[in-house]
Amino acid sequence: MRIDPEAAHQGDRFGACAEQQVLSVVDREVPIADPKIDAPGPAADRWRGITSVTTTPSEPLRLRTPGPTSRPMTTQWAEPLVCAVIAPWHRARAARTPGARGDQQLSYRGQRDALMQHAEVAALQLVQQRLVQRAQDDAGCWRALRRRQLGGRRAQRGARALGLPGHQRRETLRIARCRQVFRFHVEVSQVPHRKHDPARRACRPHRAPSGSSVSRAPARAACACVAGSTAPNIVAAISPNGAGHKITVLHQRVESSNGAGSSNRSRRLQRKRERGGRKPIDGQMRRQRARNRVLGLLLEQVLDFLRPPAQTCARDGRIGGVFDRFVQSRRNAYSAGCRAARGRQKQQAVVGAGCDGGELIPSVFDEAIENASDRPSRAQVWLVGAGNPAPVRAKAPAPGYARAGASSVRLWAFVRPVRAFAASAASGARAGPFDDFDALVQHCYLVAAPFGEMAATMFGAVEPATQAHARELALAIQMILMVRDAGRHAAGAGSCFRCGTCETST
Amino acid sequence: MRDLRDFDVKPEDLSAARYAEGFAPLMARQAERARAALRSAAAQLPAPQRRAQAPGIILGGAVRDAADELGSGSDFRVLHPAHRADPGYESC
Repeated sequence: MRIDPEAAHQGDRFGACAEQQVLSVVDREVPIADPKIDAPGPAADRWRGITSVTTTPSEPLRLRTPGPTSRPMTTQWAEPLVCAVIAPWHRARAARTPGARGDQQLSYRGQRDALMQHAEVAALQLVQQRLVQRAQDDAGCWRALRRRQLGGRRAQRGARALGLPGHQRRETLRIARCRQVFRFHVEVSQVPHRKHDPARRACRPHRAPSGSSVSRAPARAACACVAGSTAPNIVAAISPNGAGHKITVLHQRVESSNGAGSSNRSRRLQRKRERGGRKPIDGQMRRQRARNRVLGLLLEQVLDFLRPPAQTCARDGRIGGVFDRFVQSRRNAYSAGCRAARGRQKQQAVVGAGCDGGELIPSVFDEAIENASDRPSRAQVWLVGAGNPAPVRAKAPAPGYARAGASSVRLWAFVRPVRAFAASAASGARAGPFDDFDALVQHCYLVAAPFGEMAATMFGAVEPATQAHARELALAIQMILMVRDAGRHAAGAGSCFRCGTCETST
Repeated sequence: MRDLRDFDVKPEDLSAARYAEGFAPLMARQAERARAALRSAAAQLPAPQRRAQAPGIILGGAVRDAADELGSGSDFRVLHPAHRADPGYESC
């Protein structure tokens, strides 16, 4: 692929209009896919004489030929017949149905059959790149493309499908924001001959020049190119060379029609009403919904763990159950599609392996952090909440990553307090008597601070200062509750005053 | 235990639900420690997080009111279970 830096000066080469501004030119080599179609022959030779075909909506297609000698006609008797009968019939048919861009049959055919072997390859890649929702029907996909329902995201992916670099994607994205693009320009230079495809009948040659049937194929190619391009301002030019065909994609800034914004808005509102007011869900929204769902499930579990205090104490077996359910919910989140980009799946797999068997394996997390690159990934941000803040903090995670993984941090930040509470359960937290105030503070921390941290995490705390605030708050609340329940505490000597059944001494 | 010795409160008095002379000051000291922890918690909370941590702030205020009610309202008469600020939660 070659990107021409002098694209702005090539407007004349592609016949750009005065109001169009050429942004970039991308040449792409496309090998010959089917030798049978592109084999040299009399029919193909008939096309070799056409040097360029220029099409604009305002004027019919014009052919520029070097001269009559370079355009051999193998069937001398066919041209008058075509000029007298076939071409007027096509013009009349085109007049009845002007425009092939909205033709559903063409759209369907164009997607099912790879009829666009050359310039149309770029358009077909748009569908292959899943630019539209798969739930829609084929014709709907193309209508969505044509109506620019997906906006800049579609244009950006389309640019990616065309192999454009990043800065050109942004340019394309800016171009796609233009509303009601009504001008387009297509130049097809030397379209090789192809077999007669019934599917191409759907592409009406309404821009065919008068008196020549041989221009139907370039016109069809132009129509298909325009109908299938990611945006009307992406112009394709095709030229054959020795090995295959060179597709030149010309990005042009096109005009926006004046006064068409209100009508566009009304049409969009009408389509929104027809859809029932629902917005199309993109991948990011799906992931966010999955995270919210997981957070909601986790919140229910934690609240279920907190609400019935009579059955919950330091030695309650439900602690392990909650811990396992938490780990399982995280697994379900991954399986439900709550994943980051593909490049980070390896680190996520490491993180997932660290939660095998319902127990966190700290060594796996430590290994993941040690093997992490300088640029912290989302998995590393998750590990911040997993109780290992020091290594990642030293690498200074980017704010963007912190924002992108905020919900994940909240999710993972449950691990540390749950582990702390599990440790307190394993050590058998005592409810008293305490030798001094420090022992009382230690007891309050074990039984209350993990829940404070979990609650603060659920409310969006990721900073260490907020976690310290939660611990202090939990300590204060626990001490007030102990003052309040001093009578029960004293009366329940010999057993845990909380549940009255366990053997925790008081 | 150290606080009990400082305020001359015997564990037997607590088990028998008898209010010793130093019981109220002992409880007042514990409540003051809890209020100090609440103030420390409020001081450690970053300002941008105040909106997100509003439930914790509200809960801290409710517990502070409960401590005030236990102290000034009933002079820490807590050995008889008449005070229940929130029946759903108990200390452990």
